[in-house]
Amino acid sequence: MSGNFRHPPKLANWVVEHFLPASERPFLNGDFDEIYNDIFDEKGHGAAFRWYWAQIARSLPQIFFQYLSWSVIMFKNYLKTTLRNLQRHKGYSLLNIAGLAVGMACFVLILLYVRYEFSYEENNHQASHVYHIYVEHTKTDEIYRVRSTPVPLVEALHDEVPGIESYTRIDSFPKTLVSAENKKFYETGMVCVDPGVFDVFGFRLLLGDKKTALEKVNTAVVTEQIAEKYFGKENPVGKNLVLGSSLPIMVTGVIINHPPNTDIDPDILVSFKTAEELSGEDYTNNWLSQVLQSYILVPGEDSIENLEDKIEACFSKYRAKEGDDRILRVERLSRIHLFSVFGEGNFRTIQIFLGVGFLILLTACINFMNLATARSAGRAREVGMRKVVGARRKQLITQFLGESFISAVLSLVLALMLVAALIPAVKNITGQAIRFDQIGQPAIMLGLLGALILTGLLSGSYPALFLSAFQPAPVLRGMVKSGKKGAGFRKILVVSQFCISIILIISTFIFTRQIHFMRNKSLGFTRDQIVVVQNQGRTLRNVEPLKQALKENPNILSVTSSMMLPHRISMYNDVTWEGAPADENIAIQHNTVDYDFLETFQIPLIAGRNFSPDIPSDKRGATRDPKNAGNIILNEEAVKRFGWENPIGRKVIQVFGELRITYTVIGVVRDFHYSSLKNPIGPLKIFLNNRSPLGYISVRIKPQNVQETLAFMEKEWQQINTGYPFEHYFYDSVFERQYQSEKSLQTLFGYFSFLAVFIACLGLFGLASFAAERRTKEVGIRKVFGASSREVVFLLTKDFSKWVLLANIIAWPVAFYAMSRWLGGFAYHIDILRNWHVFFVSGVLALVIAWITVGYQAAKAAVNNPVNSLRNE
Amino acid sequence: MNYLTRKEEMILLTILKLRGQAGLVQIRKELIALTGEEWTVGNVYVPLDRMSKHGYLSVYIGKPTSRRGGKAVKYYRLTSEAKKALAECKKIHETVWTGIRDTALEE
Repeated sequence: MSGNFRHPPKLANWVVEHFLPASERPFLNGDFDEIYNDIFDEKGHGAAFRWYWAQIARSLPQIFFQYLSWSVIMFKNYLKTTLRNLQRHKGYSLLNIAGLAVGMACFVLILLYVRYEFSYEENNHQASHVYHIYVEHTKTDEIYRVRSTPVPLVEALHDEVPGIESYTRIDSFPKTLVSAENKKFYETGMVCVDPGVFDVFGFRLLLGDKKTALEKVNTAVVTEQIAEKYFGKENPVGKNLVLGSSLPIMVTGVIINHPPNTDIDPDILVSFKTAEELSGEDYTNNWLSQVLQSYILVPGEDSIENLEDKIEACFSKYRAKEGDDRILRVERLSRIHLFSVFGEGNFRTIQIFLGVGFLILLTACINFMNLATARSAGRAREVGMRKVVGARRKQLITQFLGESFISAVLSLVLALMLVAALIPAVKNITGQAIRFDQIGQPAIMLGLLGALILTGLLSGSYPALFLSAFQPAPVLRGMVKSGKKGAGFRKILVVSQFCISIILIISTFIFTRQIHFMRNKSLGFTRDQIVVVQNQGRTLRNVEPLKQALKENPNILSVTSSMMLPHRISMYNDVTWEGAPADENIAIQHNTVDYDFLETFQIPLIAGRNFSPDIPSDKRGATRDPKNAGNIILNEEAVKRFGWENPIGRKVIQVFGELRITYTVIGVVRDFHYSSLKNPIGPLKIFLNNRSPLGYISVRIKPQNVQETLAFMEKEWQQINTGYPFEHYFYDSVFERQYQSEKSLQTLFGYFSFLAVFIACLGLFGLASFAAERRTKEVGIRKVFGASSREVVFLLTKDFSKWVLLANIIAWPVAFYAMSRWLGGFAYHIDILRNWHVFFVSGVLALVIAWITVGYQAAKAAVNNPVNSLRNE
Repeated sequence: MNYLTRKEEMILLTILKLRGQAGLVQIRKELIALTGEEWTVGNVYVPLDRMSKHGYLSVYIGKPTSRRGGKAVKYYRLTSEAKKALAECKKIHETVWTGIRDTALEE
């Protein structure tokens, strides 16, 4: 009977090894082996082999289900004790679960927000192979990046660099009047693109053929939305859209509407041939100026550096011989939104939000720990009993963790309900199209699971380790005093909760002040009582007649037309200047304006003179001679940068590769903020073009009779630009929309700090009620000996006040550091030291809220008749 | 008092008969000999596990042997509760069968 040990079939053994419950594995596995050997000896290999496999089919499921049903029974037991515990202490459970739920809801919302920000361009499944090409200027004071590239670039790349499967350029039209049949609207989402646009961005065509749709001149593909807007339910293919007053464009296809989570969402895609035909040779083959965005699809290349090298090899042939410091760089389309200087999203904000989400979740967990340890005295007896009856420490730990996990699950359910209710509000603040069903996405689910486990572990860990360590004998003899143990730990927890709250309150205040500062800072030009109209129609060619007509009205103070409005000047080119070190040129911004620009926006001249109609040489390109191409006005910063003592009459030279064009300085204006306050004021030059600076027509009017003035303006507009609707806005409304992302940051932080304070107060309320309860007898005795109610209240609130004060001391430097970092992102910001009172006010606010929270319990204890509290002995 | 199932009763009795040498392998062998039917490992293990969790069986770990691939064996012993339950069981059997003649079961 006893032969050598024969090893059972390997694979079958592996299955047994891996599917038996861990605790039973060695024994059962041994049993299998022994019987296998018995049968082997008795009936031979075949029978034993068959038996072993048969066991896997028949026994394993039985054993497994036995194990599983036992776990369910255990879980049911935990659930029962937990629910019983929750029910027995309703108020306490409510505080706990409500706190956790609010914290989790906040966390889930942040998760949704972050997930949404990361989802940009996700609908384009090639997004990681699509590259955006941009230009970097290296020779300027700091690296200067420009989103637009030369027109012929991608075509050349496509011809010369292997691996570029497809490409498209995007040249945006300014706001343009589009009409079809009897419909007429201004469109802002109109672009010229190459046929590769469908492959590069994955736009799906509902109608039309992607190979031929954008092949011909004067054809366009539109979104469903545009098709419906102009043609209703009819099939738009083959019909014409008229651009401006006379350019018919035939619709050759319809693409599905863009998802909300994309930054590339043109509505009308006009064939690139149209742009070439409209703009001519100077546009198509110009390697020097940069007017449009370029995207390439390179599926086979994963290294940015390799790709940049290849592009450089090609571009070096076309770069100007002298003074051309442009370097072409690429970035992945999928990264633009969050990680690029050109992206509309901000990775920094996301980090801040995630951090805050964690902090709030942490505050909620701290509540749980706090209240659980505070109540430990009550449960110490339970623990003692369990231990006496024979519970091992491990089982107690499992029980406490189980309880905290069940609470966490309950809170999560509540939290999800809260989230569902809050989503519309968050949508309003952030402008994101987040939806509740996005919670089903794997990334969010994973985050939720992580939060659940974190919350369960974190909030259960301390009670589990601390309570389970009680020695049964002293506990049951009543030697462990109520909640004495862990009091120090509790203090730390409360202090850190209030720290978090105070930091958030301070941040909110600082955000608010900075935004207030940016909105109200004098920008160096007037923005009140100015009506702005985008230049359209005939005034694009000559704006003078309209200006003259408008100036007739006494309510109109000044009229100007300019390429760009003063708050956002974003054209630039390379210049050098008289007296510049050899070979030095820098990129500086410029605007093209008419005679009345400075007057309308009330930008003061500090030296020299304004452009004058009497001096023809003021005009840019007044003569064909590049050595004397006209006069310009600079800002102070430019003069400073050029290092000139006396700027009037000096020369500034524009550098276009080998071509150099010289201008003479006639005036200097005071610096004004021509871009966001995040950026310092840089050098600026201003050109004159009185007939057609394109862009905008701005009219400064008297504050009286605004309606009549507007009506008059519309009438005059219609006389000249017949057929073009008069769409105007007030200039100051632009500034309402500026700093939108900072504004939503401020709003969200307001809510976050409220939540953090709310959660911390829930915890504090619990602790206070516990403390009051614990000291009932003390209070009773004190009152018998003559303590007044006020003294008792003071006694009970003293501790909490100390904690909050300590929290302040820790929170202030942290908030100071964090806010200094944030403000560092703005070239013009408030002085944090001069705003010291913000810190003080936040601290006092936290203290007052803590007092109110604790005060209720303290007062209740203080007015209690001592007879009641002492009688029950 | 929970009644034992027939299977549990058989297993408990088998363990009793094996006198301290009651591992799963031995119990299974006895049961096969007793009933003449095949008992899978699971058929034996599941009631054993259930009864140990209910406190009818105590367990002690034996030495590993080479025949078991170097794995230890788990021996089962009856607790006093199990003995009480068996006694009860026997009493019930006797009570229930009293007064029923063998001929009553013949068709």
